Amino acid sequence: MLLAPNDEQREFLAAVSDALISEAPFSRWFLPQTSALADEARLLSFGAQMGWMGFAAPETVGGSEADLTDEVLLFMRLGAQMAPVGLCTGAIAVHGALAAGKSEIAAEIVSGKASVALASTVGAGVILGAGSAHYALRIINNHVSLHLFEAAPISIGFDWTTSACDGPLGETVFEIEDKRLVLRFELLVAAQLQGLAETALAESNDFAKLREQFGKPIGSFQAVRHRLSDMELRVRRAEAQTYMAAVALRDGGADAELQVLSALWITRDAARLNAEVNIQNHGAIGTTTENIGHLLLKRALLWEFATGNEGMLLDRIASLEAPDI
Amino acid sequence: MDLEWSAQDAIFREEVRDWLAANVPAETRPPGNEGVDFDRAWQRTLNAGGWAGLNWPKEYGGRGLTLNQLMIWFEENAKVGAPPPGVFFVAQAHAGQTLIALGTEKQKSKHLPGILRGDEVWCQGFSEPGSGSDLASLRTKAVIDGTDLIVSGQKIWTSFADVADFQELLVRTEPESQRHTGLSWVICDMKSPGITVHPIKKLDGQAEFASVFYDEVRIPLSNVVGEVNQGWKTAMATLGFERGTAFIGEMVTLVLDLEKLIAYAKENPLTGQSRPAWSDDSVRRTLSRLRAELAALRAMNYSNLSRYIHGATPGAEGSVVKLFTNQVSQRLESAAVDIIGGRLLNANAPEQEWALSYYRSILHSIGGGTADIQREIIADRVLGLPRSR
Repeated sequence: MLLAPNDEQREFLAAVSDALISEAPFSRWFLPQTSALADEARLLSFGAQMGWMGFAAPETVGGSEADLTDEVLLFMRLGAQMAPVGLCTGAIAVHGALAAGKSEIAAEIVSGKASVALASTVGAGVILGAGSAHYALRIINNHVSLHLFEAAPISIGFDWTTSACDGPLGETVFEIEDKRLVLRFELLVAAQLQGLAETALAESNDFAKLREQFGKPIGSFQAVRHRLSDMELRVRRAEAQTYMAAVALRDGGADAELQVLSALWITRDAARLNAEVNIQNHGAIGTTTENIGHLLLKRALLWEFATGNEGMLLDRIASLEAPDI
Repeated sequence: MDLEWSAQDAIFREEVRDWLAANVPAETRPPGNEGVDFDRAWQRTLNAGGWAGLNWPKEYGGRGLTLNQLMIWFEENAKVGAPPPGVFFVAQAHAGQTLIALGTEKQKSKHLPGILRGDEVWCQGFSEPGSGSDLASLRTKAVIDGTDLIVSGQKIWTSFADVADFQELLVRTEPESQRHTGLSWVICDMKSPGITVHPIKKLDGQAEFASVFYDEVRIPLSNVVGEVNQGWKTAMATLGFERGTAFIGEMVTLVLDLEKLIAYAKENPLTGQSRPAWSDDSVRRTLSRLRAELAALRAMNYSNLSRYIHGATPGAEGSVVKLFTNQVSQRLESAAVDIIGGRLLNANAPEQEWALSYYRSILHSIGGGTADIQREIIADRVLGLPRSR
């Protein structure tokens, strides 16, 4: 039994982190020349070169056949660095295309020749990550469908880093009913939310050690220390539950749905609260665009909105059988 | 990553299940100190079955369980509602293992067999009226007089003091010493002349707590465990013995309690209403949130323990687990009293158990280091923040 990364996975994580820090440092957001649209397209292309969208896909479509727990670890790191939404939708669309018998489309996405946006099912039907996308992935209840994507005016959307447009969706490429694939999508979102929560904690922890007031680092004041300890708790429980959900879904456990939905709820809570508290910890600078605090909060909200309202999520948990312990 | 148990562990789990099924008493433990006879009978049953001193080395009469086995033991005990150690908690969880780690051969041979057999009840004498969270400020003094220590002072929050035979007592042996230095950990015979025990009733109505007064109590110097003036080291050694399993049983109990509460909410209305409480959005979603939180609590326990099984050393992340366990427990018990509501006004209602659990959940986030002390530990040792004190 091991519900934590092994040595090999830790090495892999360190390599992913290094790649991300060099390709997508947060400091780029403070440079006037950074274009969010161009940046998203560049990182999607980089992700395809790194093989991230096909990481857990079969070799027959150019994938690396990684374990679901490896993929979850990858998406934790991607989430921590606010990587493009299209990496996650691409990875899910690959599995959907294979399930629908469209391996050529799976291969196209793995290679980076086509990228995949997320057709939001709430609000005005906004398409997220639309900038350079060829397809849009739509998830409603247990249905997953992929649609051609028609050119429409693209702008930078709700979270300031993800491109968006108002649609409409074009021709349907495939539509399948696949509850496990929906859970897989929710798991990869949970992983990214865990990463966001972790980044918010790291930002606060660094700042609390450096920033001095009343002649001392603010991290020596109990009001701040205790907020940070609560952030740590939220990060650790989100991490452990995300691992648990990955193992349960991979192994086809009877409790897989409960574990994944629990992970989604726990990570949504962690990402949202940690992003809010991180801004509080930074004081005035945290409320400005000269700090990434607002981006973490907005990305957390984007994933929340894209995975349904809280009441719906909790009612899905309520509808499940009691866990077998 | 995987949640697989080895074939050996699976066999062990079956063995534990079978033994518990045949031996767990049907009756529940009488409350407070009235449960002493019950606890003693259970400790003797455990000892006869070879389940006393679970993780003590075999050479001292223990079972020598591995960490996986210890985890399985606690899980299976919680699942069937096996009796808690009760008055034997301190002897089993701390005192025996402290003696094994740092005691003299004479101390070991005098006490260990009695602890295993359920003959010796131990209590803990650490906290004082002026030294709660700040344990190192303790002032109870012990003056060396020939081959004895003469102890004067007061301890408090000593569970089961009035039924205990011995106490692990932390005293200041070096006059004028400060903080963690100059302390000694001594075995105190609770029947010694000069000891007075004043029970204190807790909010659940039980008088398990006590103040213990020491009026020139003579304790042989040979009762010091570890070295004289090195008592802090001995006391800290005591804390590491559970190796991360401390909250496994409580986690399982909470998961089962939540499902009981969900069943209750499906069958009973909120007071003044006719539909089951479960049909109320706010009730149902509060309970669903707890389901998710308890899943995460279980995952955290498994994640930490599996890393320890693979060789990691338990550290301050135990404080993260304690903090979360206490929080979820309070939320669950608080939700229960909200759902049961006015039915609790009937003092004879069977639901009173939930009110008692609610009171205890508040108590648990103070005992064993308050929630705020856990946050301080996390801030210092996990996050590496500058000290506040």
